[in-house]
Amino acid sequence: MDLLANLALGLDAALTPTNLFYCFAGVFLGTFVGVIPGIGPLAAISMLFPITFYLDPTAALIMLAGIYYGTTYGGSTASILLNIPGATSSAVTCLDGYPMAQQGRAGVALFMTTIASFVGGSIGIVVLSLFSPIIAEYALSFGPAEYFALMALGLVAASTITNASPAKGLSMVILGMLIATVGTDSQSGTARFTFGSMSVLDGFGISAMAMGLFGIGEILSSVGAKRSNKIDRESTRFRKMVPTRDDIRRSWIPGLRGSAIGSFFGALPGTGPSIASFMAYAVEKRASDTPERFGTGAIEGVVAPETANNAADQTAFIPTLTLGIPGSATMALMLGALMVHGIQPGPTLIVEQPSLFWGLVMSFWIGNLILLVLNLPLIGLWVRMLLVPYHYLYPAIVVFVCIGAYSVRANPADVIMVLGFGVLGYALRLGNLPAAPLLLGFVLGPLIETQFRRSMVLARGDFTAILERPMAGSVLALTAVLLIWTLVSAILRRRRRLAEATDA
Amino acid sequence: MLDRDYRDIVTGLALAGFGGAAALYSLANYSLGSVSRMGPGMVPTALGAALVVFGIVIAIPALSRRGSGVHVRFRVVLVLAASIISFSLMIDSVGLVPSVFVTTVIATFAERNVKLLGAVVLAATLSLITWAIFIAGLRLPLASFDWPF
Amino acid sequence: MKTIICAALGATLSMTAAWAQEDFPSKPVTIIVPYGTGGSTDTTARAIAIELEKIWEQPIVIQNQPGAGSMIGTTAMTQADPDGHTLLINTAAISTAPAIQGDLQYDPEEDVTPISLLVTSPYVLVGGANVQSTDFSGFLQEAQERPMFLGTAGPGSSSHFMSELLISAADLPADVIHFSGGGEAQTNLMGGHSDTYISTTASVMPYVNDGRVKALAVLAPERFALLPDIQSSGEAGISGVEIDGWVALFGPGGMDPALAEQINADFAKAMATDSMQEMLERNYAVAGDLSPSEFRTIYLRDMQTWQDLAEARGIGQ
Repeated sequence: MDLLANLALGLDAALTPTNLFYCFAGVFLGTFVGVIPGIGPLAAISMLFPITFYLDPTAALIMLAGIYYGTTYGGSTASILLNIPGATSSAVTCLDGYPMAQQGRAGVALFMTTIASFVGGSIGIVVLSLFSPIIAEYALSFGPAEYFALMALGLVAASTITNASPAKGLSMVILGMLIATVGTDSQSGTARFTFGSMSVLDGFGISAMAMGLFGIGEILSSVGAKRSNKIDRESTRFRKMVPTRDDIRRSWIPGLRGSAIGSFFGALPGTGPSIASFMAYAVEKRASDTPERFGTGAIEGVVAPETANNAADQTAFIPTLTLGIPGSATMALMLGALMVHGIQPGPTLIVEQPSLFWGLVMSFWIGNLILLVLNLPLIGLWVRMLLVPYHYLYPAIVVFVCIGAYSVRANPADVIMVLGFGVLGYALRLGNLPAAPLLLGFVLGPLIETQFRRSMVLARGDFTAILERPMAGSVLALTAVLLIWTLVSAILRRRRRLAEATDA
Repeated sequence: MLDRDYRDIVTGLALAGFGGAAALYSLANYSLGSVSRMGPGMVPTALGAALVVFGIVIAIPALSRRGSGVHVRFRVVLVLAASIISFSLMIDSVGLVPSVFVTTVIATFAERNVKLLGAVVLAATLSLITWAIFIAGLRLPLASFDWPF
Repeated sequence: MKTIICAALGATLSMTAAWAQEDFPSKPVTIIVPYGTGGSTDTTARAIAIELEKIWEQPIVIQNQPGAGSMIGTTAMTQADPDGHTLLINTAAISTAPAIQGDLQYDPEEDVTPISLLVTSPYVLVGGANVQSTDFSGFLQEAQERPMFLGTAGPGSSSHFMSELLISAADLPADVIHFSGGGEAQTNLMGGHSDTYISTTASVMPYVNDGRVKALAVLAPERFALLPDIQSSGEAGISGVEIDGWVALFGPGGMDPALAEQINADFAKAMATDSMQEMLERNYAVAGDLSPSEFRTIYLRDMQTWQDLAEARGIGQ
């Protein structure tokens, strides 16, 4: 079979000592950089991009890709231990990962995310190697109307991501969307709410927002407060890190669903791992018999987003390699690394550069295996970090967050923005408002606005023309059904509660 | 216990106020455009208005509900703000190591149980670690020391 | 007579160059790239820097300062000393920005010294899945019959300005639609969601060669030597769209003309190396051969064109 021959060719290319070395170097660096809050894959790859001029293109790409998916492995570590997303796509992991850590189950959470990352990554690689050309063609049929419909569905599906009242959850989604309008308007070029500042012309950085809302917000509310610390030496023992039978039973279906969702969103240019992780979490919460456990340390809430973002990391290479179209800034860097060597990605890449394409695919497998072997023993080390007294730990977190925020664009104003979002995060806690929907609105808001306005231009102002497109129309219909169902079930639940109260 | 849920009342009114301000500012400054080509003001105005509605929805039931008070720790907020602001002011002019040192020392004041010696030792350790990671390791284009004189 | 003046001029030039050479570059040179790492401008700058390090025997630091449509990095450059140790490599965005950004924080005439046109190529009009015609004459007719959507890489981008210029020059009943960057503009072409896109050879030719989009015209009076099969806009009787895309070198305002000449000459040497020539060939582009003052004329002319167009078509309002 062709595929086997190709895989053998790829294995051959990936297993040369040089490529193996760069694969290891990439994932090693990636997983450590991922642990540091604020230094995401983009920053890490930007720093190392210049070396690609001096490397063979396959080696260069293998290394950069290793950093990329390695950061996603590491990104969940800080989310779980400190409630600070190491990478934006790990922000959702905070929701259940951090409560697990507070219950002394940090080891289990880290163990499961490592396995989940490996499973998600592997499924993403299978999708990448089997269906790349088909998916790439299919993704082209997604125009502004389809993206708008899909994002609207996502927003409605994920609006109940936390256990707060619907009014509070929705108000946070809207606030997030409103904050996301700051900066240059994508459709008119008008600077909105910038008040003459150049630093916010490109809007607020997503990592500044995530670090501020979760990380600094968390520090502001726990410094000086009474802390119920359940982490002791006992919980760092290896025995305490092995997931229970119950954990595994609960995890495998969410893991598969998460991988599927991640593969889908990763392959669409214009969405990516962050959206994939939100969606996977939202779907699990809806599918669960016990949605109230989410947000209090449910293992599914950790597994689903982590399989999703790792699967998305892999399938994000589909549009990049088969169409030559980068779906994100990070993918644009990968493309740049190829172009430096005069290789133009496109549908002909697989045919013309088979050893590059299949070598890369096989190196992903190897990289994911290395990450698995590398990360499992590290869990013990990371968990011990929680034994550091908090009054020494929090100044360190502040310092790392500051450097992380600054390093994105070498702009001191970004550090102040993190502080601003931190104060906002603290204010939300005081007001008992959930932060996750705000981040969701911030991520999806600009996409929805931009794609909606675009599709209205293309439809010449006729909204029914959007509904007549088969894909967009059916997704929007599904969105409407879901919205009505959400509202009706909320009202019914309230009625029932009121009825019970009067009965009693 | 307070006779009303002042937390939700204040929260709701704050959201409504913020939304209202954003909607009005947007309406005054950015064009709404037409249906086929919506202007930059359309979405922020709509979102601001929606936030006003949700703010009121949050605040109204809280009027007839008992609630608990909220304790704001201004000291912590101020100290950490000072620490982070000092980093942003220093990083471009004096380099990484002094910025990290000062930021750490200020940050430790947010809790009362760290002695000055402990703070200095922590700051020195962090300076060394961040230097090793970001300058020696990742080669961030940042000066370690960059005295302006 | 003419030869004598030229010779004399040449002698003075080489003398000033010789004088300038003594103290430049006296330390590492920073080249600001106002875009992210890995983009086309960044990779061009890094490739030139590798060659220039050999000529200057001084390290060259590429500093990426992306943001605000290249204006963050450009503004940073204008604030440096004009001693040649801080330079900027930017695209035509430096000439379009003043037309649309109201709160520009530098004077585009006084605070910028245009030094050297490094890479230049004509803009190419490409058509997507919905466009039937295969050349420019056919396109003009098709676009009259069916109102089209000209995709851009965003409001205020050079593809936006060029699309507006084409609409007004050819009097088309068309509309622009803004995407976020060239990549998105081209996927929407391939999927048939928008109709055309205008960009430089380097960014569209890979997809033309793939057969995913069609090259309809080079926007120039005559055919482009490196792409002889593509009809030019001039041939089809359309004028007023003959503006070339470029990547160019700038310094802070008030730079000593002799120093600018010297840097211009050194960059020309770097552009003439094999590796740079190969890169140009790959991108269907040519190296510019203008003196700083000639390039200044082009820079000011383009800026004026965009300003007039922005006013006439209500761009950026």
